[in-house]
Amino acid sequence: MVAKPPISKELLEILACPMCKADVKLEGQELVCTKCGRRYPIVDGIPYMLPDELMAEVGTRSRR
Amino acid sequence: MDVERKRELMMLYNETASVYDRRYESIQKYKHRWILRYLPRRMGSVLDVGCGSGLLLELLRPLSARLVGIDFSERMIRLARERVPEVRLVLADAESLPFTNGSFDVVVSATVIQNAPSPERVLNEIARVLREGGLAVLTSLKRKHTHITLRNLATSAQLRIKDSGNIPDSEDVFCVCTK
Repeated sequence: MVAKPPISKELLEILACPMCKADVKLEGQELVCTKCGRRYPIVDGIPYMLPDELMAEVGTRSRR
Repeated sequence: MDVERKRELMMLYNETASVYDRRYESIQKYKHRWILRYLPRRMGSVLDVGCGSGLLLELLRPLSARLVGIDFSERMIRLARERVPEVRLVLADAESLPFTNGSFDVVVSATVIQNAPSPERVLNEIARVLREGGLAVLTSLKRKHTHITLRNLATSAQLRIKDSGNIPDSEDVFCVCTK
């Protein structure tokens, strides 16, 4: 059985890296920027796509 | 210092998320109904910038099957998830939107722009993610913006003004514009 993707294809198509605006691709439970390589977690179906300076605030604290 | 201010705001919204609806629901809903007057009955893709606990998303839900909400407060976005589970949500910052150019037919933002350290960046980002001919309906607090300064921000972001003014009996000004 194939696992259900954590976000819809439709949302994935319009998502971009908040820093460099390049496309992102889905790798497991993360979105990865195809240009700068930044990784964005998907937590309970919600992509966490804050810019660097804010990601530092939630990234570690809120991820289980 | 902008980053510091944003972090403080983020923490503030996280801390107050649970009381936000109780305190602001009726005030916000009044503004949301004002925004709705400027929106078509049926819309394609719609982005709510600073969706908070999802009050406006709830109103927009019957009007669009492709609705996306962003907020930078984790607690708020989780409240929105509970309120409108079927709406697509992203934890993101209004000054650095994580969407490709021209992704949306409509962008709305209620009482958010006044908080941004750089409202210029927010308007530029909104203009960037709007498609050509797309519609934006924005409000900001009167204590930070007049409808003229809000218009000027939109104009600087290459948006064309359709209407602007004070929302009567409210603390907000509004601006309706197209790309």
